[in-house]
Amino acid sequence: MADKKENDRVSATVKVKDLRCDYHIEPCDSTERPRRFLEAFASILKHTNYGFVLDHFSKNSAHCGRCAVACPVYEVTGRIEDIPCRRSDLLLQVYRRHFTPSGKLRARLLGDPGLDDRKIDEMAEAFYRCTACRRCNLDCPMGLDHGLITHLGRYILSEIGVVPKALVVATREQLEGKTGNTSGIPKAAMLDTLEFLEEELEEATGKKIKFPVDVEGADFAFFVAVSDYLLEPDTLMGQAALFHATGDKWTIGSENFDGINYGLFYSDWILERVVRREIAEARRLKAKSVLIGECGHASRSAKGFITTYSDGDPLPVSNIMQYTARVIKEGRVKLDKDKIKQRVTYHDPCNLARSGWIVDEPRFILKSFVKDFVEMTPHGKANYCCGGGGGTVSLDEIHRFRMQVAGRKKAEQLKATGADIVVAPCANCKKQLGEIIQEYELDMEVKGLHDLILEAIILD
Amino acid sequence: MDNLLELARGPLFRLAFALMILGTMRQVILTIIGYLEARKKAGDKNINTGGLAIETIKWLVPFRYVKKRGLYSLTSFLFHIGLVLVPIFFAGHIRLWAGAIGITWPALPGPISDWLALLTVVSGIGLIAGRLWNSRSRALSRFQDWFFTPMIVLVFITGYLAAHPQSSPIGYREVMIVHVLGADLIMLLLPFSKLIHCILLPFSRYVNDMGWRFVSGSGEAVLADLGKEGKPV
Ligand code: SF4
Repeated sequence: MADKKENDRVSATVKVKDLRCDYHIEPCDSTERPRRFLEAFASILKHTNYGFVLDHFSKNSAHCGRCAVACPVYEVTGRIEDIPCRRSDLLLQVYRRHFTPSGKLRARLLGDPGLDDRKIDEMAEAFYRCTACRRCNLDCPMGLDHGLITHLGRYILSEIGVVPKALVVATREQLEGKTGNTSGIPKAAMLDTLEFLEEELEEATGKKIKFPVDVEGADFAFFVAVSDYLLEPDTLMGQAALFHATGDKWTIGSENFDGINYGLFYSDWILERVVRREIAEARRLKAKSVLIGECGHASRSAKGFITTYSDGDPLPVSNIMQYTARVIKEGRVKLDKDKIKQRVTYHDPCNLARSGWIVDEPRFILKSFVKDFVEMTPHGKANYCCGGGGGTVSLDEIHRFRMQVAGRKKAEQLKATGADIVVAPCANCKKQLGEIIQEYELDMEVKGLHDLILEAIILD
Repeated sequence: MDNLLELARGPLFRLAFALMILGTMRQVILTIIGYLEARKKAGDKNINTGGLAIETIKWLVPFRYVKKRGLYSLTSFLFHIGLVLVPIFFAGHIRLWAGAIGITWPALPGPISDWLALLTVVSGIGLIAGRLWNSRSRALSRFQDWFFTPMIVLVFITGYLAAHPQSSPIGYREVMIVHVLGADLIMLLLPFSKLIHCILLPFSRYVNDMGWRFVSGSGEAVLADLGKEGKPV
């Protein structure tokens, strides 16, 4: 039934295959884009390690096409342009043509004029059709990572002004705005929220559970995707209740409480500036380590880059699920096994699971108190992206693309589990999955992992 | 005819072989130097060397990946076994290598090289057919993708016939000329084409891992180059 409805809906408008990924950009200089693109590319090659990697990709890509079977976008559209190594080749061609001796020679012989506006437009769409989920990396015999090429392609494009407006606006507020976070939440409002949540917690549990702010010398400086303060009170309360039970010292910093880092999606200097602010806040708090909430990309950008940008003595980084799994194992929290009666499944955020970093912990946690836990197929490292990865979930203008193309595989997976609750420990995934559930009329609810902990935790 | 064969087997072979060795050595050295330089620049130098090695080795075992696109993966795997083993371990070749570089090593038993060669021929034809048949593969293919597989199949067929002159429909000499010239050409092109993946494969995952190791301050340096220092977002 539902299947038929979906099909009707799609064919009534455009074919899935033809759905475009057109995002809004801010007004920018559109003259001489090829020249400016190449200038930015040259400079990036000079200061980074990308050139070395591109060189290797160019030489070794056997064009075997195995990556096609891994890509959720290609699986849905079947468009040749959506095959991962084909997409990467858009950028590799520019690299070879303009930055290698043999490519330059070849171009001279064949009279190839090189990069033009049409190719730039092609890349501009291609690199945002890709959600940078890196699933294709698992299927490359050479281990080539098309997600990295997507990242680089977006980075160069952003230097000539081709970058989704929604990402830039949020980042601008975070780095230069008054509030210093992507959602534009003033510090006072955040503190109010925490107070309100403390009252809620007291009402629900009868305990005085604190959200510690600006406590110096804590074990953990805690950062979440800032949108959690607006949208995910249960996740936050679950985390606070957990710390209340274990007694470990944690703190939220009032100067910077946003773990979101869109730089990971489109720009190295933005990535660096955001990470440096995070490091500065953790240092100001004299924290022993950095702890990131459930959010996937916030965790990966901290885990992957705090060492890089720390200039020595990096603080250790972990994700809250690692902490939670550990304290359960150590028997420091008690969870009521009869509380959660519904069927629960778990969505692996790409930024947590693809590298194999956090796969077992959430399962261990859930299985320790949820009776009816089911897996999606496939899951873990090979899980499908929610369809809103790489920052695309923030682009409302490509909602149809996200629903019908990038997220279609996920929708099928969700439906097949028959679960009542899908646990999605990531702000981006949560938004996308919520929209998928609506679009496909699934009878299911999205929750954070610690929402369930909040329901089941026994505080004495 | 005899002269051509002697040329192909003698000087041409030595030239192709020498260029192949020099060319691949150059590629390997460039990769290693590139890697060390990149590592020096990288802000995060904690590299999971062992883990990457295990990943690389796992991919050499086919059982892991035949689940998806099973037929294609299996065909490709079979194609590669003969391709790697026969040129190096076929008894006839070892004699040739001994003549050229003066060292020998144990050979594969005759019937085994025979079977491996046939497997490469059959699977090679399968791969070509697959590339032709599948419109996606066709679209993905560059000149070299069309060139090498048929070339390799040709060299393997003629090689097999040369080793079994009694079952060859054409004369030994003709067969040998095609075989040796073809092999010379492949060796010559190896360092300059996608075939280089046979040598660079062990480095591949390390290079890729390096890709995500960013250089501290690089973004700001790029902004400075582009005249946009301290640029607001
Ligand atoms: S990173 Fe994900 S979306 Fe992008 S090409 Fe690979 S599998 Fe497809």
